[in-house]
Amino acid sequence: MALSGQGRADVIYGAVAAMGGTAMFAHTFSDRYSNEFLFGDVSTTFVPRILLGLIVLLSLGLVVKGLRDRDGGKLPAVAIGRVALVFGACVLSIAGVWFIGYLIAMPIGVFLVGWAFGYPNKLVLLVTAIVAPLLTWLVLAEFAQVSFPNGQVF
Amino acid sequence: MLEFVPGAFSSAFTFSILLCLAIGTVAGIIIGALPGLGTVLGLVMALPFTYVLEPGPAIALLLAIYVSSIYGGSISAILINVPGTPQSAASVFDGYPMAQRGDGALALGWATIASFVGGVFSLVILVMLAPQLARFALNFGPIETFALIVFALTTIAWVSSGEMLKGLLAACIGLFLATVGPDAMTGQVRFHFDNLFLSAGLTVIPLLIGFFAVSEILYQAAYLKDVKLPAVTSGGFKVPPWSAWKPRIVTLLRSCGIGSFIGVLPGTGATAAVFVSYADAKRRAPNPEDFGKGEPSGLIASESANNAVSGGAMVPMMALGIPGDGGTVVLLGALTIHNVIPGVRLFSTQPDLVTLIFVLLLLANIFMLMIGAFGANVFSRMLKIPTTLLMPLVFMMSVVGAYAIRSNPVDIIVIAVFGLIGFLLRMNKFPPAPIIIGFVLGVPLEMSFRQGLILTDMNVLLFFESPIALVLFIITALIVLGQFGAFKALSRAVGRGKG
Repeated sequence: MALSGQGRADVIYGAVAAMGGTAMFAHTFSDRYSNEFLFGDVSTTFVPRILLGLIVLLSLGLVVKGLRDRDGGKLPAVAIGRVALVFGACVLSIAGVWFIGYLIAMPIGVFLVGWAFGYPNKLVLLVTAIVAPLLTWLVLAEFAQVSFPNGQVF
Repeated sequence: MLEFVPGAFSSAFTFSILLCLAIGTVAGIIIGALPGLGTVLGLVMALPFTYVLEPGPAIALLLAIYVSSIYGGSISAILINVPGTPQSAASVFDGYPMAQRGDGALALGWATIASFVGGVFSLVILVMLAPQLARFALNFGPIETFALIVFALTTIAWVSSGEMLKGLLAACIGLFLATVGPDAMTGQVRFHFDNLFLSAGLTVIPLLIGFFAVSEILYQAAYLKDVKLPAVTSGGFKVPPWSAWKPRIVTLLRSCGIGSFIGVLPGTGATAAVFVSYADAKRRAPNPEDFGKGEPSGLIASESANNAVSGGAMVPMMALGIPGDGGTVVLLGALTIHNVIPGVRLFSTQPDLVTLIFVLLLLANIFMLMIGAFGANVFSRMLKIPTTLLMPLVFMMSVVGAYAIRSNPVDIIVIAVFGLIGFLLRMNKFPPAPIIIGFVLGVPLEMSFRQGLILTDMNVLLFFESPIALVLFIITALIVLGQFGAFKALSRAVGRGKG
């Protein structure tokens, strides 16, 4: 019987974590660290190796659990399209803040994230997208002197 | 510590602190009442405001949000049958039926007063327990500290997730992330892959904004249901008469005790406390058949227990520097920004500040009672704001909070990266709190372990010669083996709460 639902998710997550942990564990033996005997001294990679070993062990445990969980419950449906839209809007806004600064990029960002979420009233969203970042900037940057991103361009 | 009380009160009664308490309480109640936000998100959103404040007002703002957001969840639970926060999940059982039969104002009265009593009760526990625990912990050497952190992380990992394997894995990932950057003992940089940003190490604020706030935005996007919330039933505020309180005083005090006790245990939190307390009140009540149909005792049990957790959860955070849940980990991070390092030494080096924190917690509860009572009508109107409009604002505050901490634009990329990782982990029921708590405790864990090894000349067996460490290791082993009854029951309660 093929794996499905929770069992399959556990196998995938466990496998990814185990591979990541193993890669990092191997990295601790690279030349950039002073290579003492594996557990023979309190070296700088001593604790990370223990932690990575534990991560690999627990991940494999998760894989085994997933393989045994053939009748595992179904995972709730995920609106992948909306998640991708919202995350895309977040990334775009962050890039905007990085390049053109908070004051120009954040109103667009708030509008985009709200639109990606599917907020129906575009006028309310537009007003919120203009007022909220401006108000935050006035209170925090102008009044309280908190540092805000100005962007690379301006 | 008594000698610092008058000074703490005079420090607390300044305009800036009282203003921060008032603003924090209003914001906390609204954040708690709006489904989709919650205590941790509220604290994260408030972080940028605290950067420019003095430690006193900053702590006042955060404590007010912490206390009142737990209470705020009861407003939506009672008036629209949707708990604003997970901590108010049990308040819908009896709160909403009361509102449906036209007693919404009375239900809010029960909830507000029970929350206040719960908060003050737990404060008394905090004042009595934390200094003693800190004094006891002064005797801890590296080995005992290591055993304590291992014990706390195991408890948090198991109980907070309801799934030990995923909780432990999450805690180990958090511990590993703490090793990125300079080694605290030798200064050698680890896991930087020739990247300048990674060579400085990861910092807690962008990490917790990513894991808690951005991952929450994506989580809401993933599971947002196009369900129209029910219309708000009657709001307002009405104080229940003394004759109605009298037979329920024992339930109130017992629930406060349960909440405070569960709060002290790392990782358990308010969600477990309310279900344990509700079940206990129902079992002992002469009229268990009325529970779930609008019985005030059910509402009292739930609301007093969840607010009683606030003081209890601060015991290990303040005395040992071990945050037990998402709320206290944000508090710990915010205190650290202001050079207030919770832990054993805090009580001996800054007793005046500790006393001020106790006084601020008391005032936060009083503000919650007053503003909750007088503003009930206004708060009930706020419930109409939809999640789809709130989430863009959470994102905006996340960006501001991540950047403002050290004016490093890379931090806003960090929140996106860890937000996505946090979301992917949460999709498969990995809890975010153990990752962040593991990250916070990573450095002290590594330091104490390595110092212990140096002290014992690399002989790990000598770790078991310390009686305190031995007891802690035995309890940890029992928890991992699933034989520790109390934690087993709590884990089940958390599982029920999340289900």
